[in-house]
Amino acid sequence: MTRHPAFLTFAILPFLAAAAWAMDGWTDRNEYDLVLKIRVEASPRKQLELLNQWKQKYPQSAMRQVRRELFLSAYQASGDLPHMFETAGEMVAEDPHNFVGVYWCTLLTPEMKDNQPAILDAGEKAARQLLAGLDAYFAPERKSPGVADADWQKQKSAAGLLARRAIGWVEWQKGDLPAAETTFTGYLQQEPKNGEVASWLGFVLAYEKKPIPAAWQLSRASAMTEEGALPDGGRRQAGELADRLYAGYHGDADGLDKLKTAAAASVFPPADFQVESAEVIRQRKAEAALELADPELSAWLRLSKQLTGPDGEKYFQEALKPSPLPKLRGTVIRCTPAKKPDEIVLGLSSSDAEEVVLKVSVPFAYPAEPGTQLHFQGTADSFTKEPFRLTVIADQDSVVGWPEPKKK
Amino acid sequence: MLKLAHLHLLFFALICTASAQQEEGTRYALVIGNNSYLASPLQNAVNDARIMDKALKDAGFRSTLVENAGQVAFQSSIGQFLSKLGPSDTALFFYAGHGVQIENENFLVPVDFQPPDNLVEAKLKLFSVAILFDYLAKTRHKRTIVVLDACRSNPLGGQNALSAGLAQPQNAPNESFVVFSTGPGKTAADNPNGRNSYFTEALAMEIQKPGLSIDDVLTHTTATVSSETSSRQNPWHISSLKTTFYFHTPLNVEAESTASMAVKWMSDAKRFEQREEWEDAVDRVNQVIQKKPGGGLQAAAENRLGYLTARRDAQAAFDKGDYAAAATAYETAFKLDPFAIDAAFEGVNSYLLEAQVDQAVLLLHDIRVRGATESTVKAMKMLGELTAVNQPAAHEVGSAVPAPPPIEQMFSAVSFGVPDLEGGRLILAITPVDASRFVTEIEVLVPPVAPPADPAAATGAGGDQTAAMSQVLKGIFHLEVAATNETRDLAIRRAAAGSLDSNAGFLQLEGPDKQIPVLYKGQIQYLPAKLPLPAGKYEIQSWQDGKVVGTQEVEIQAGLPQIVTVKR
Repeated sequence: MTRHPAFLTFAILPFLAAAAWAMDGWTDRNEYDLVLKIRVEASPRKQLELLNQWKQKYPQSAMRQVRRELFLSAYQASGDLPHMFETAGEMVAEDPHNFVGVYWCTLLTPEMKDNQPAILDAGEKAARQLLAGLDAYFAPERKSPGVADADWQKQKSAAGLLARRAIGWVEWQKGDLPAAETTFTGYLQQEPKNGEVASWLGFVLAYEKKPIPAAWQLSRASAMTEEGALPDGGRRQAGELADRLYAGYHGDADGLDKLKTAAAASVFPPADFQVESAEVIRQRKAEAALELADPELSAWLRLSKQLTGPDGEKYFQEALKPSPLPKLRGTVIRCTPAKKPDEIVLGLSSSDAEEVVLKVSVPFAYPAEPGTQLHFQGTADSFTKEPFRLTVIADQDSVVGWPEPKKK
Repeated sequence: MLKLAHLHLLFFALICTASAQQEEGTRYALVIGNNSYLASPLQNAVNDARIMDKALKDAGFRSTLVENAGQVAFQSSIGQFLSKLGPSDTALFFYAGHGVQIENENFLVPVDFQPPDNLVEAKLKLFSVAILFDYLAKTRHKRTIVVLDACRSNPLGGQNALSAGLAQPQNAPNESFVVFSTGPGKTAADNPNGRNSYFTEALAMEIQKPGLSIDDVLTHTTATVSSETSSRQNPWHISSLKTTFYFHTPLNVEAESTASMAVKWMSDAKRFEQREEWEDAVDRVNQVIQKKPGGGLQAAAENRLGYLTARRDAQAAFDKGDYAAAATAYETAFKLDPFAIDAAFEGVNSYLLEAQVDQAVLLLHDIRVRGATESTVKAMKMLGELTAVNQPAAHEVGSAVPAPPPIEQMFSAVSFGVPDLEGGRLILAITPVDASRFVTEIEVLVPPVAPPADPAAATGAGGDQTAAMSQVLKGIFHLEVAATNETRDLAIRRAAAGSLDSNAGFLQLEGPDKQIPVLYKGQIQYLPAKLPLPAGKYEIQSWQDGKVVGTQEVEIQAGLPQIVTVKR
C-alpha cells in the first residue's frame, strides 16, 4: 500500500506531539531543538541569545545548572566576566557546593572591579567552600579519563591557590591589611612565581606603610617574565611604584639596583636585608657634618643620646665612667658657691638646658658669668636620667675659657 | 562553537608568557568617544573609548581618554597629544563616534556639531582626518596607529553632500597603520543591544591577548566582526609599517608566530566548513597539524581533520557520481560528528541513489534520534515513502519516536559539573585585575622624591635638619636664608629644568671659617657658603637661642654674586 507523503506527515505530527520527551531531562522536543541550535551556533553572541530563549521558555528546566554552564562558556568566549560572576552566583545560590559555581565565583571576585560587600561576601564564601571541599572536588573519581593523575593534583593545588588569592583579595578590600598580608604571604610561600599576587602583597605592604618590603614585592612582580608574570603594563606600573616607594623611603635610588636583583631572585627579603631611611641618612650626614664643624657639640650629642636611651645606665657604668670623656663645650648657667665656685652647671646642647655639673677639685678664685662658654675635659662621676644630669670631675687646668676677674 | 571559544583561549596559553618590553620610546594614545550628539546620539561610543583606553593602558600606552568631545575639546586634546610625541614614540589615535565624508574627505564629528548652512561651514565645524594625518606626519615620532570606529550612519540624515561611512584616506603618514571599523564608504553598526560596538569590543579583546602582532590583531578582529554581523561588516585597514608592532610583545617570537598562525588557520577552517568549502577547510586544519602548535589546539585540529576529510571525500565522490563511496564517506563523517545531521541526510541520499535502502534507513533512524524536529519530520517523510519497498522503514515508521540523547552527548567536549580549569587559568592570564586605582592611591601616600639639592648646599654639611638638630641649632648662633614675598617660587622654577635657569644669581656668605652654620631650604652648611638663588629678594636672619636677633635683606640679580659678610 502506498501512502501519500502529505497524508503521512499529517499522520505523524499528532504522534510527535503526543510523545513523552521527558527522558534524559528534556521537557519536550522543542527544548531539545533549541539546545541543538545552541550547539551548532559559532557566534557567542548568538549563542547567548539562544540560551536566553531557552531560559525564558524553560525556566525550570531540569538542566538549568547545565544551562548555566553553557551560559558561562558563552560569556567566557565573549569576555563578559560580570555576567560570568552573576551566573556562577546563581549556581551557588541553587547549590552552595556546586563545583563550577564555587570555582568561578572564587576566580572572578577580584576581576569584578566592584567592591560591594555582597560581591566580596559571595567571593569569600565561595573561596572558603572551594578550600574546604578541595578533596571532594578533586577526588580521583571526578577526574576525566584523559587527565593524568599528576595533572589532576596540579589542578587541585592551583584551585587551592585560587581560593587563597580570593580570600586575600577580600581581606584587603575589606581593609583587613594584616590578614591580607598573611594570606598573600602564604600564597607566595607555596607559589612564588605569581606576579599578580606579588604585586598585591606589594600594594598591601605599601598601604601598611612598609615601603621596603612593598618595593621588594612590586619590584619582583615587575621583574617576572615567565608564566605567571603580569602583562607589560602591569609590570611597568609595579616597577615604577617600586622605584617610587624605594626612593621615597631611602631618599634616592642608590641601592635600588641591589634590591631589584635580590628581589628577582628571592620571594622574600632575607632577614638581614636593610635599607637606610632618608631620615637616618640625613641624620647620619648631619652628625658627620657637625662632627667636622663642631666636634665638641657632636661628641656631647652622641654621648647624651646614649645616656637617655633605654640602656643609659649601663652605658654610663660600662663605657663612660671608666674612660676620660672627650673634649666638651658648655655654657655656664650658674656657679656654686657663688664666690669661689667648685661646681658649675652647664648647658651643652643649648644655653638654658642644665645638663652637666662640672666639679673641680680646686675651686675657682672667682665666678664666671652665666653665658660664659667653657671647653673642658674630665671624667664622668655620676648620672641621673630624671632630671637628666651628668656630673663630671675635672682639673681646673682642663677647663678652658674661664674668664679673667673683673677689674674693679 | 563553544569548543572553538575554548580553543582560542587555549591558544593563548601557548604564548601566555609575559612579553618583553619593546625597545622603543613611549607609547602615547589619545582615545575619544562621542555619544551625546545633539542631532543623533549614539549609545556605545563612550563605552568603546573606555574599553580601548583600558586595553591600551594595559599594553603600556600612556592613554588619555576624552569623552563627548566638542569642537574645542577635540582640538585641544589633539594638540596636547601631538605635543607629547618624541622621536622614537608610537602615537595611537582612537575615535569612536560619528564620522562623515565630504567630497571624498573624512571628518570626525564633535558632539556640539550643528547642522551647517553650507559645506564650507560644515568643514570648519568638523575635524578633518586629513589634517590630523598632516599633523602626525609633521611630528617626529616613529609610528602612527589610527583607529576610527566612526563609520556609523550619517548623523545629519538629509544632508546629501555629507556621506555616511568614511573614504579611503589619501595622506596617511609614513610608518602608519590606519584602521576603519568597516570598509570605505560603508557603515558600521553601533550594536544597539550591547554595550560596545562589534568592532571595538573585538579589537579591545584582541589587543589584550599577548603575543599578537597588530596584523594578527586585525585579522582576528575582522573574523570576529564578520562572524558577529553575518559578514555585513568587515573592518578595513591599510598599513605602511616597516616593522612588526606588538601591543604585548611575545618573548618567543617564533613560538608566537606558530601559535598565531595556527589559530588563524583554525578560524579559517571553521569559516570554510560553514560554507561547505571542504578542501580549503582540510588544508587549513592540515596546516595547523603540520605547525605542531601543541596543546588543545593541535588536539582539536587532529580531531576535526577526520570529519572534514570525510566531508571533502564524500563531496568529491558525489560530484563524480560515485554514490557508494560518497555514502560511505558521509556515514563516516556522521560517526565522527554525530550531530552533523546534514551529513547524515547527504548519506541517505547517496545510499538511496545506490539503492542501498537498508543503509539509508539506518541513517534516517539516527536522524530521528538526534535531529531537530524539522529534521525528524523530514526523516519520517522519507521513511514513509520507503515503507512500500523496505520493511525496516515500515518498522521505523511504526515505532515510537526515539528520545533525544542526553545533553552530555550533545556537548561531548564539555565536562559538565567540572569547571573549565584551563579556561580559568587563561582568564587570569589574559584579563589581569586593573591595579591603577591602588597605584594612584599609593602614589598619593608616597610623593615623588624632590630633585637633588643644589650642589653647593650638598657639599656643605649636607642633610636636612632633623628635629634633634633643630633643637641643637636653637641654642647656637646661626643664619637662615628665607625667601621673601617678592621671591619667585623656587620649587616651580627648579622643577622645570632640574637646575637653575639663566635668571639665577648667587649669595656668597663670608665669615669665620666653619664656625657659623647656615640653614637654607632644610640643609645645613657652614660659612663660607655659596648659595645659588633665583633672582629675587631674600632675608638673612641671624638666630640665637631660638630667636631672630638680626635680619638683613639682600637682592639677588641674575648672573651676579651678592656677597654678605657675617659677623657674630
